Amino acid sequence: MKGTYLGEFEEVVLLTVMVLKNEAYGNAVLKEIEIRTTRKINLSAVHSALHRLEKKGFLKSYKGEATAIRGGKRKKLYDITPFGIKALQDIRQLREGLWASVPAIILDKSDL
Amino acid sequence: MNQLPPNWISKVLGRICPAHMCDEIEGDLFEYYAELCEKKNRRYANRKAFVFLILSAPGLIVKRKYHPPNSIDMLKNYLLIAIRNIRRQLGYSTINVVGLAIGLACCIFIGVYVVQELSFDKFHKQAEAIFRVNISYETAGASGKSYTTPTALLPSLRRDNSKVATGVRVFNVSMFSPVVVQKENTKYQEERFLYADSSFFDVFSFEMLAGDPAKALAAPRSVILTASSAKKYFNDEDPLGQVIKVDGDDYSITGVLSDVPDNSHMKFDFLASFSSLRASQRETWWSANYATYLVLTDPDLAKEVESDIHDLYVKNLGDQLGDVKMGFDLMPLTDIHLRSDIPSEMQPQSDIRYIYIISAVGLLILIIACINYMNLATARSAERAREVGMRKVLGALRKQVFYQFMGESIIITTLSLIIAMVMVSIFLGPFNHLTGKQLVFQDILSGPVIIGLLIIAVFVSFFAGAYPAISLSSYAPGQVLKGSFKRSVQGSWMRKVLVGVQFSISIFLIIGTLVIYKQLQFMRNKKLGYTTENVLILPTDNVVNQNFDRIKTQLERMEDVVSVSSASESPTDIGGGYALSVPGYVDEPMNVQAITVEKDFIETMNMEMLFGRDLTDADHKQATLEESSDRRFSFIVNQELTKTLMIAPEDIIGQQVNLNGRQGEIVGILNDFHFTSLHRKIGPLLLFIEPRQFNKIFIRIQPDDLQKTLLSIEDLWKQIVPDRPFVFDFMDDEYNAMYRNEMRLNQVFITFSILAILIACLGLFGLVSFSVEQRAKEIGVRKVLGASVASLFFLVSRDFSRLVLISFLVAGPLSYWLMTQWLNDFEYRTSVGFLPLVVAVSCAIVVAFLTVSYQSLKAANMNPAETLRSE
Repeated sequence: MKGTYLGEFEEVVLLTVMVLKNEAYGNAVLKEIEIRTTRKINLSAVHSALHRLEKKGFLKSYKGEATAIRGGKRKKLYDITPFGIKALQDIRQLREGLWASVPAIILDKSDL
Repeated sequence: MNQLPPNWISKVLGRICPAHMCDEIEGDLFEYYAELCEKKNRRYANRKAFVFLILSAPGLIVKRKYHPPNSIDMLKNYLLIAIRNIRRQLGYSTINVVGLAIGLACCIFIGVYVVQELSFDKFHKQAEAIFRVNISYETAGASGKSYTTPTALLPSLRRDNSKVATGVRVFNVSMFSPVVVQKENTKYQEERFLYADSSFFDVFSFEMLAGDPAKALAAPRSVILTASSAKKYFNDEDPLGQVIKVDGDDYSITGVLSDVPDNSHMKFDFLASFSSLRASQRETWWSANYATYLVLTDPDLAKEVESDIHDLYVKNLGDQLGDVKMGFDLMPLTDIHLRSDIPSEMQPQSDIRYIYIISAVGLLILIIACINYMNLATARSAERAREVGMRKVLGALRKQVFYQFMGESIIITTLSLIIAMVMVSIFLGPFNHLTGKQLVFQDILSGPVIIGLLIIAVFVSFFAGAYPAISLSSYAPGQVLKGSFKRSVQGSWMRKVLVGVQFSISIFLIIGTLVIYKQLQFMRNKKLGYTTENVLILPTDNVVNQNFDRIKTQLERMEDVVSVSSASESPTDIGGGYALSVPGYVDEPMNVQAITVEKDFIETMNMEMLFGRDLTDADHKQATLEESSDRRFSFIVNQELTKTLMIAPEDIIGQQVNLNGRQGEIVGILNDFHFTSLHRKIGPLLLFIEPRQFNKIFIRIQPDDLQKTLLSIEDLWKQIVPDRPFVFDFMDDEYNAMYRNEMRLNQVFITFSILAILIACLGLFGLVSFSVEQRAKEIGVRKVLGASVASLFFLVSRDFSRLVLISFLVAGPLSYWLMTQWLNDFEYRTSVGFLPLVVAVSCAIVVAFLTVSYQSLKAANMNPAETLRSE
């Protein structure tokens, strides 16, 4: 379905927001992804992914507190919506279904 | 210590970041930056921040354009208000839209006309590289210019000149006399018959419908027809391979062309092979009768080719040229229509100056229409002032109010444009009639016109809308809403100036129209030195010339025929150039014009002999002796010739002269008559008898019973020369045709000045009715206090009459000067005089007064109780 399609990076960001729970704002998401994936990402990529996800309805946002290090600017905190959770579950189901159907010759399932 | 990103990065970010995203983006960046500094160093952090800026910028800039959701509603509101305003003030809106629509329609017409004129001959694929050779000559006595060249020019250039890629010679046989084309029993006199070399299609890109362009003009006696002439002679038959008779000779049809486009300077219905002409057999440097078109390898070489041609001439004619100075210029094909200064072109051409004039008129009309809009919009500003105040109180910025009013002007302009297009489609027929073009609506939808229209629409929207928008958006809300708002003095001043401009333009157009008309009348009524009325002109050929005596005697027997004669050319436009030697007076032969005539020519034309005697039968015999060396000619000269030679009239009679080898003596002096367009001065002229050159028969008739006379002449004609169709012209028509350009200009001027005045009055009407509305209370009070209807009428009309007078003071002298410049173009001209000025100013005053008076009377007759009741 166009508009609700979830890209790989978007999926990662969405999952990270879920992981971070109430502390998900741009910088935190960036740090979390960098730690977990050891990828080098620019903050701008995170921002654009967050904005896109919010527009698609997977995320909602609210204003957080301001800190000195942010030059007195307030954080924009993100939270996953039920729609977002469902999208993640759909993807997971799709993947697991695919994994399950992979023939044993290619993959020894006992290893899993 | 908190590390901050470089100042410029935060500044740029602040600039491009939409307000509602600032906290998140900037905050995150600060944090990000601080952490990076801690983790590595400042340089690394700077780099990362810069990358962040570059990568984020596009997304942020796009989001900046994102309007907050309520702006759509605002736009809807603007549109609603605009439509309500248009509907509530239907009268003003109609004046606005109709005025603007008329102006735009004029502009469209003029634009299409100008585009069409400028497109002449550009449809040829090599248009840029095609040149025509023009010749100019000059001697002590006279000078002239022509597009005709001798037969030898093109062949020698093609042989020896590598700069000339190819070329073609074209001979316009109708220059001398129209040919008669016959197919079995149908027979027509054809005026547009050309001969051309077989290379014609290497040069020009006329579209061939049937036949092979490479071979169609190769063989002698072959001819190509255009689609409409094929239809005329063959209807639906296939003309290819058929035979038609041209002046008695059989020509086979080798091709069919689609009709020559309107925007070609060269127009023809028949195109025959040049090899059919006897002249094509030998190359000569004399008798220049043929147009030579060259295709150059590079258009920049034109100057060099000009001097090559000059060298060729000097080489081949050298000593025979004598005192005659020859000049050559290569005229670009695309210049011929508008920039040719050759008096007799193959087809009458236009003039670039007319294009300038007509464009200027179009612009003036558009300005008048724009001013209407500006005036009515600002005049009504008081009514919109509260709206503006309210909007501002509720937080509208000046910019937003400005855009609102600009938007209204765009709506009005678009509406007018649509109406203008409808007008154009309706009035296309009359316009074609006026300009002699054959435009269809599709031409208007062509690329350049559409682009031009859009530019004009945008220009009008801004030009007309900017002033009202600026003035309306400048109101201070406090003042307006308090109710102490007064219409500014400055605004009404501005309006008066603008109305003044409108009337100045109108007055200028009236004066222009009148002066052009006056000059035309002057030319028509000028004593030409002969009478053009009631003379029939019939073209002749050899057969007719052989039977001339019979025709003449029988015609003269008719009761309504006054006199019959024949000549080589019509006296309205004598082109034949000769060299005259007058031994004992001038050393070198001088250039003169001459015409060969039959002995009764002077009598038939009602010309006036000043001295000596008319031509006689004896002169005729002497000039037509069997042995050409025995022939003696008798010459009649015009007064100008005696003046040029500075010989007393008594002395010149009997003077021996030689005209291009014709030996003879001068026997009489003729009063000067105008034998060419009044643009040019009368030059020296000779008349002599040489029947083999006769091309035209002139018949002076009594106009009592024209129908009967014409019928009996036709009967006689058919009896004696059945092969020649009876097709005639009236000499006065032929004379008037020379001034077609001026007449057309006059008609265009009349039409457009009427429209301009109409639009200006429309605006004035709106303005006056508005000002009356504004002053309703004042008028009511005055009336109650005993003012008479007359004094109130005067009160309202006074301002506007004064305005018209001031406009006249501005426009009068300017027009006087401009029209004097225009008149200077004519060798024989009238003066501007006072009459046009007086007529123009009274016209403007009367029209303005009539416009104003309706409203003034209405105001003056109003019952004061009506206006004073409320409040």
